[in-house]
Amino acid sequence: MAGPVDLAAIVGGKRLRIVAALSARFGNLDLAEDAFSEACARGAALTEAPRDWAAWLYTAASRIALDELRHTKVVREHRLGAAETEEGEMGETELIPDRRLALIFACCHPAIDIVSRVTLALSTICGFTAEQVARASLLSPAAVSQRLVRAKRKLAGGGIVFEIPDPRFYGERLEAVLTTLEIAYSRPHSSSATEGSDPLLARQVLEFARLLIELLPDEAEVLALAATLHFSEARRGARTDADGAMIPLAEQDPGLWDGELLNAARHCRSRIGLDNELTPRLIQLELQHAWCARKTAEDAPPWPRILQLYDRLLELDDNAFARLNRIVALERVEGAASAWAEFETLPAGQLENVPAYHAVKADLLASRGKLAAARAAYDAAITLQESDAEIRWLTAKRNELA
Amino acid sequence: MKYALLIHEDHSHYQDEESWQDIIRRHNEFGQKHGSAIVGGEGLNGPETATTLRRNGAETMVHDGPFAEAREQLGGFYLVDVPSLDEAMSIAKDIPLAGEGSIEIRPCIGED
Repeated sequence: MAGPVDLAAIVGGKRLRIVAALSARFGNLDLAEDAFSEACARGAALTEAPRDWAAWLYTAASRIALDELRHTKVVREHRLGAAETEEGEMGETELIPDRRLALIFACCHPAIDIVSRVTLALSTICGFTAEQVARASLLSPAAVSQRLVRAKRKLAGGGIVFEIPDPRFYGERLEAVLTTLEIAYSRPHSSSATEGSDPLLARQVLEFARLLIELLPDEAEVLALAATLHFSEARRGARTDADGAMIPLAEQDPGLWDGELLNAARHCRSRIGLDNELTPRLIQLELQHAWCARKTAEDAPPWPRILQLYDRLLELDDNAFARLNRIVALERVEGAASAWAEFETLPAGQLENVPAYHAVKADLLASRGKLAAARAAYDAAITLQESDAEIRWLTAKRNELA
Repeated sequence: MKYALLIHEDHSHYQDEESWQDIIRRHNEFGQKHGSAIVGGEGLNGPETATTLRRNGAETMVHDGPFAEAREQLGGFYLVDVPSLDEAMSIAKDIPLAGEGSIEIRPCIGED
């Protein structure tokens, strides 16, 4: 043996394809992942590299899984016919059935708790270790492992089939996949919904989004979400100043945005057919597109367009968060008096624990010269806010009111 | 795959004849709509008729009442045989309830 084999690097993007094919074949993700790990361990001990690593690993893992099933006496005759159990060495990666989409639909099934769904997606689809998932999702490693074990048990015994959903359930199932992606990107419980978190996590989630486009190339909602995530990620480098304080979208320097990610986002957007019915996700994309149209730090923020888009969004999906965001644009377009009148109609009870609610309130109070009340509202926002960058920004705004 | 659809609701919804007849009618409609998937099921008499045996090693204690005291109690179940959880969830959404309640979907252990 020439030296230790870095199978992870060799197999790379094929891992998911192999695990998906095994999961679909045996109807059991846990078994598939264990068999794949064992096959990797055996592969690392080979003295001579096979012609096609992915095909070799798939064949080896299939045998390992079959042995395991025989051992536990749960071989289902209808699933594991003689022909399947006696296959020869496969030579080509292309012969591994592509069941990645089926695996994605299974891992993101709406019957699995959303936090577990995110955990499972990060671990199985994105290939994160439990420790990486824990770091990215702010859960303890023990909590992550526990969620993975439970979710995989449900996948194995709950009748969640590894297939593309029936057309009757397709819409709901796709929505569950998209929600999982959105939350995986923004991190559960995050108050700044599309601002992303850990850079490594964000990169993997973008890759997941691109995979979903590859597998579902004509789905407008998938393209819209992928474009939105790319736009959002493109601004990562411009989101905080040298002191680590947040820079609001309208004040960011477009020169610091990532041009490659912006292009990828625009490319996704250009693939969406114009005949698609307008949905909240498509409007979110248009908001991102409008924000990212600025070319230099001197360009004015596109407030009138933003206001117009929030008006459309509220027609489709009237919720307190969208109304709060619309008020920020309304202030810039029509002034603080109109915005304050709108603010007073918000459901305060629903928003009182949301830091942005108090930050918007503070801004409107300050614009109307009510400085003491504005300071108190900033204090409330600072107390509720968990993000360091936003606390620094809010504190600076508060201190400007001296 | 078989699934038990366990119906938990507040039994007091069915104290008068009218609401009782109404829920029977709705269960009949449900049965007609999903007849091909339903392989079994029963409505249960109220939790006040329940007897629970609790065993602790060799000792058996008789408890006059249901397993757990709760406002919502197991009131009946269906057994359906369908290809996926999606189908089971879709059928469960059609199960009639008089008011609030829950349907717990439990996959049955297979023969193999």
